Amino acid sequence: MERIQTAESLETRIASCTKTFADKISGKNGKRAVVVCGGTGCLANDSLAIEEELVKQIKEAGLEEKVSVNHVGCFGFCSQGPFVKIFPEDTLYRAVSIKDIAQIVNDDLIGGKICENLLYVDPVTHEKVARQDDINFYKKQVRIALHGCSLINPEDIEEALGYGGFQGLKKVLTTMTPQEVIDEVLASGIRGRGGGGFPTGRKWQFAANVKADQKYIVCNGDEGDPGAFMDRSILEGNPFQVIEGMMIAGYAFGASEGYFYVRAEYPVAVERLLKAIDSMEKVGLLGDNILGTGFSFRAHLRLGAGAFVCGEETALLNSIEGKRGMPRPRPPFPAIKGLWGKPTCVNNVETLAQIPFILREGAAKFASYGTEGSKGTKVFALGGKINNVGLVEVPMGTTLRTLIYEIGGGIPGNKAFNC
Amino acid sequence: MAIRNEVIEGVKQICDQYANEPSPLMMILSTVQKKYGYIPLEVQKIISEKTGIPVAEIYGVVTFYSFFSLEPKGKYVLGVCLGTACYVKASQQVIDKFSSVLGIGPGQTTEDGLFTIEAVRCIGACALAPAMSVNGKVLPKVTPAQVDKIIAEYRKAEEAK
Repeated sequence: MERIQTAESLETRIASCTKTFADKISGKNGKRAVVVCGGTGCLANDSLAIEEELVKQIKEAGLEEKVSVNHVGCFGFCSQGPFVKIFPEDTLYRAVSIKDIAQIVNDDLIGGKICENLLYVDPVTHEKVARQDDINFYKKQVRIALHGCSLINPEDIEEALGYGGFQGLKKVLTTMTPQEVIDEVLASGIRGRGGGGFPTGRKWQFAANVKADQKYIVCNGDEGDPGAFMDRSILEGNPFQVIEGMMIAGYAFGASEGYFYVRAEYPVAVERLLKAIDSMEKVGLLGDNILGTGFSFRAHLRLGAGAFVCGEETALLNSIEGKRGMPRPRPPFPAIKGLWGKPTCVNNVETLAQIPFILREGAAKFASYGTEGSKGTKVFALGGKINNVGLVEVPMGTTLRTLIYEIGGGIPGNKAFNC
Repeated sequence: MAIRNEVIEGVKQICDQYANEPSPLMMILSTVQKKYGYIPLEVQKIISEKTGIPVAEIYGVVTFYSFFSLEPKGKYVLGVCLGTACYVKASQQVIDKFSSVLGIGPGQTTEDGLFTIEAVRCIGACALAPAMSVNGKVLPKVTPAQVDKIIAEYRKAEEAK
């Protein structure tokens, strides 16, 4: 892919990739598109072998010009995986195994008939649901952090460009001052999604106010809480979005270097992130003088090594600095004195993943979701004794009842919910 | 303990690989651990000479992080997740079964050097609980009844080599 050196060429590239991607999903390109879930959960259930078998059988049937196959990121509905989805019909097949591929190719891809036995069955109504958007688990979701996950190929920068990618960054670098970016993020009301809930715009403002020769933005990908796999899915499903959010943060408070700290237990996320960084560097969306605006930014990756405490931001900074992951006393806070003593903002993966939306669609749009004190959406992981185990993103203020019963499908055996 | 020459050279090369990175110690240790399976004191001394970081500091870092090991690990590290979502789905019984079949406890390695059992923290595959990770590969919904089969498969793969 050619280097993107100006805002105009980025705009042109976005337009063409958007058309290509829209035509793929709508079938206007005259083809059908098969996507296979490539998240950790489905990979553990051999989704890679499923993808390879699909490619093989489609070729044997002479269909390779009419049917495309690629993997996508986590569907979030891991208990129902492995997933195979077919466009333009939006048909979602669940719990697919290698022996089902022949049926999918013969009955659906060739015969145009849905394979009913592979459809999701609603645990309450016991009805089969063919389209992903009609499944209760997905119907009530507002996917901002999860934008693109399970839709785009997370290893293909053109699909990222074709589905909203880098539009926020372009707007920021070409039409906004750093203070205007901070003001927009403040206006959105977004608060840290890692659990601290500190207003993100305010954190960036603290760092922006400090004069320093170097500042850093750090992305906390050390998601250690048991039962939590939100950050894993986001990094596996649309790493470009998180990098874009990091760059917008860097521009806002003056950081030219970003560090991703990702747990070593997430090898798929690490691999996808490295690939995304590499492809962005190759086209010039990372490096010196991005889009000819004078803004330079480099992203680096540092791995964790199995220490839960490194999820705490100051312990994390010590870990990047090659030390034992011991927390530091505060003050001084990282925004004043952080990585290698320089002003640093540490933001969670999910927070950074939501930033491009805020700049692309506007703070007001983000703030139209949620409650007075908690704007926007939040990704939740449903696990344990619940029918629909997986990841959902809903507006803040959604009740536990809705999450557990309407989206989660309730408790197996209709047991009572205690606490 | 005498370290083989090619290991000495290999460790030095890894240090060189990260020579231009700020604070490269974690990266060096991760790469050495991945390549050689453990980081004994003798290897820490080599890293110390190359990087100028005192051995005491390197030792402190190696012993802090659970992924770094002073002792050799088995060829297959059987990491059973004891995170909450897996724990409520009885993953303790899975790790107990591995222990009883292999005759070693968590953190220990079989005498033939093939298996190490480890209790790992949540690996983020909670929808597949109880989950385990063998050298980074996630195995879904593991039950005590599958333990013998899993061990047999890895032994078979070894014999085939």
